[in-house]
Amino acid sequence: MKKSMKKIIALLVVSILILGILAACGTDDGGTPTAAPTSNTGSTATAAPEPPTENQSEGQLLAEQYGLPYTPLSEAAPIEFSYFIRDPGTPPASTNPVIGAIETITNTKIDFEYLVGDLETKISVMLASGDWNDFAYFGGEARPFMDSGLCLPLSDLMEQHAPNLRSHFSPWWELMKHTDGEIYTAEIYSTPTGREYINEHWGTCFWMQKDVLDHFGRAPADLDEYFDFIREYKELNPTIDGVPTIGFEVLTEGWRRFCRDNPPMFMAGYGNWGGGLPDNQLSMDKASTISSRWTQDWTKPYYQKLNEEHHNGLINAESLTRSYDDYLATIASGAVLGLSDQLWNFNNGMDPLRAEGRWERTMLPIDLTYPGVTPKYLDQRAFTGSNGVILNKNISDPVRAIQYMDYLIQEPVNRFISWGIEGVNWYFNAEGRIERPQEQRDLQSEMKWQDDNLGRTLYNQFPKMQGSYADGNATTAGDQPEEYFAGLQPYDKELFAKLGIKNQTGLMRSVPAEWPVYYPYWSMAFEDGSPANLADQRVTDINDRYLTQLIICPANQFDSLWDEYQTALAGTGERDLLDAMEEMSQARLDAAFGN
Amino acid sequence: MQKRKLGQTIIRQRELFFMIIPVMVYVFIFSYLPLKGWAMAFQQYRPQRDVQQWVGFDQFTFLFKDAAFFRVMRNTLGMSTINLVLGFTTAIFLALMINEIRRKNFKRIVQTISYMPHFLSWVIAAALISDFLSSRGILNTILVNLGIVETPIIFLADKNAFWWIFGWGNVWKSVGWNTIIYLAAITSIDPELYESAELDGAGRFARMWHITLPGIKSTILVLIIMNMGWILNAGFEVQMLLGNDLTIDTSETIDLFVIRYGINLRNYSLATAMGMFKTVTSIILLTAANFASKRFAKESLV
Repeated sequence: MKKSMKKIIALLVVSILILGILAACGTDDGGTPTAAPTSNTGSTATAAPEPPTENQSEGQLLAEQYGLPYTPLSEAAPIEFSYFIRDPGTPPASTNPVIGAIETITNTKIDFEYLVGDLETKISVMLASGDWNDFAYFGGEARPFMDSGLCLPLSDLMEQHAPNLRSHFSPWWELMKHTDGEIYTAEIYSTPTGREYINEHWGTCFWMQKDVLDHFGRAPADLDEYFDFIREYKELNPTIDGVPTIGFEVLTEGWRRFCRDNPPMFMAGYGNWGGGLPDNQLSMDKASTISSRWTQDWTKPYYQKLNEEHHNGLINAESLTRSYDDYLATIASGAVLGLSDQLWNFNNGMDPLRAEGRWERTMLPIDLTYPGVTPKYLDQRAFTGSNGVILNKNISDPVRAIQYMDYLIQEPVNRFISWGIEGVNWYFNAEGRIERPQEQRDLQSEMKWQDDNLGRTLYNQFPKMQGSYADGNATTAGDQPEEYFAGLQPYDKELFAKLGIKNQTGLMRSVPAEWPVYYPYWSMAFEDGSPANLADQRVTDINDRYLTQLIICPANQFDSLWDEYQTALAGTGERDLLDAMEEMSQARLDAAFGN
Repeated sequence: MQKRKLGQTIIRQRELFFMIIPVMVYVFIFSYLPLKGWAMAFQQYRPQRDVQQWVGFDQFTFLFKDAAFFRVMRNTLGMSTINLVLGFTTAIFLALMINEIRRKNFKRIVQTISYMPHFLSWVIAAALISDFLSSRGILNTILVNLGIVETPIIFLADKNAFWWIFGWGNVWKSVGWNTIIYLAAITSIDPELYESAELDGAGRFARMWHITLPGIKSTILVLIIMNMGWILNAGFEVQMLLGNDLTIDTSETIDLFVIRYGINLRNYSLATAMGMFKTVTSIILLTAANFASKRFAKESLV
């Protein structure tokens, strides 16, 4: 009896050990993609390659079928790269015809990995271990990777192997250089080409549910009236489809805290500058001095107003405790009447509403300001230098990677991944304009369908043409005016007629503003451990602690809490941050004007 | 009794020694090898660099001078204490109750249900808790419909409630699991004690008080001593998942502070200094608890 017990225990121990060893082996190769070593096809190709006429590869045939240019990658060995994206999301369906075609033509598979959990922590772990993806998009958080020498230098690679990419970037080439003079990031937004079309505003604004606007037949003139509209509508409709009506949402989670922080700055007539306030925001050839944006005369009234509306029951304390996912889910209920946000940040929340055909519950932007202020909510697309894809210096084949990006930036390919397959997703009409069949317009109104059937993921995550092509067509369906209007829902057409507006931006008074090269300050990143970096974290912490509290504190305590907030701010060393921004503004001017 | 030599003992108990090898290897690799990283606490560590700059005790000075330090220290100790007291009393209480249940099937059902939450990750548990406490959640629905409150209470926006949400959340999640060890200890109590106590006229509660509790006293003490070592570890998952700007004054713990100012700002040295401080304090607390227990209750861990 005793002996058999021992045997059983011994067996258990051994099997646990074996399991452990197996598990350890399993994780070994899980981290980095194991791209098979490839024949170095690319290193010799520089000038426009000639397609071989005999023995055409599958990729070459497919490129011809879709009218895409030839690439030597069609004959190369298959390779796989991983790509980390700093936002939560789901990769496109494996059946995606557009992405599948690009994969076959270039023999390059991109494996998209989306953020799970906290971005900052993820970045820190990647930095400390030096183990990260082949491609990555971190938005403004890429700087530490460059400072730590983990990034692949791109200047020479682009000069030698990517003529199209090189010429695409030529207007901003000097601005793209890091402090050490090397280029590490390939900008994927804010490199406009051709003409700009603005049918829709995707940036910061106050947003109001269409049904509220429909009820009043006009846009509110100022913040007071905005909340008056919401109050009156909420009294008439205490619930919307069974869900208690929510007056105004304020998102505070993580880096998306801009929903809480930014409105006063816009109300005072500034653009989306970020963490500092330029004393002269139109100082084009000289860096503006910078003040704190939290101590201005116009900062306090906004939060005082929110506090008032909290006590009026329009802003729920619960809204301030929501995570980003909860926030989107709340918007998806259709019960939210107003919010201040950037459209790209909450658009996914409206997707279910569109899918259910509840168009009256989606929102329109209104650029509210303080009295007598000219609103500057709209930007001309400007180069920011901080929204690029960076590459890992240990990537298995740098030349293949840069050639892949070079292929995507070519106009026919870029049109293919943005608009889709000619004859299926779109066609040229008699005037040479790109048009979509009506059933495609309906299908494409849903973002998820676009993810799974168009090349949107590739288009978004790699350097691209934004604006218009050589033939004048817009680079995306949303930007093409005819398509935008034809794609409008009957409900929207009716509402727009009632409000007397043409498109989504109709209620806005802003004129697209042109900014100095050092705009915006939020695109500036400072070295780890520098005083500016520490001050930045401190100011953020103080804002988190006080600004949210100020919205819900008892009305009679508002003033004393505000004074406490101002005292706490004074102890953060914010000046270090502002000084560093001034310095970096000057550096950008120097780079742009070649001083 | 004859004293055996060490070598003989080892040979006699070779199976036991063999079985402990994996654990020792594990502890060596994961607990002792990383200690060399403590050097970082005295450096201004930059990743991916070969040469590091030594800065002495600068990181510790920064830590102890920061106004936030005492706040996070208070929060950590507060939540740990609540957790410790609630955790022990509820688990012992539940173990005693379960032990008194006569019907085996019912007993099993109670046990299974009570330790099910243990297997949920905190991400899911936190989502359930925040749903439970939300304005349209079950708790508020009950309170409003019974007329106890007029408008729903936003529990998660109340910074005075956070410690208790944390404490009771922990109880819900782990109470069933924690009873297992007490139930095991209870089974080792000699049934004859109960029989003779019954003959002497002891009722149910008298038996629980005079036999069951003293019977598991040593288990309880050992667990308390071990848990003293964890008192600076109030964790960060719950606080990160359930905390928000409104409750940050009471929800930010040492670990969260390290994440914000250490990991997220890539100041790995500060994070290491904090880790060192926690470890040293834990060892002191553990030793003190062990000493006190040896002195007053004649029970000890080592």
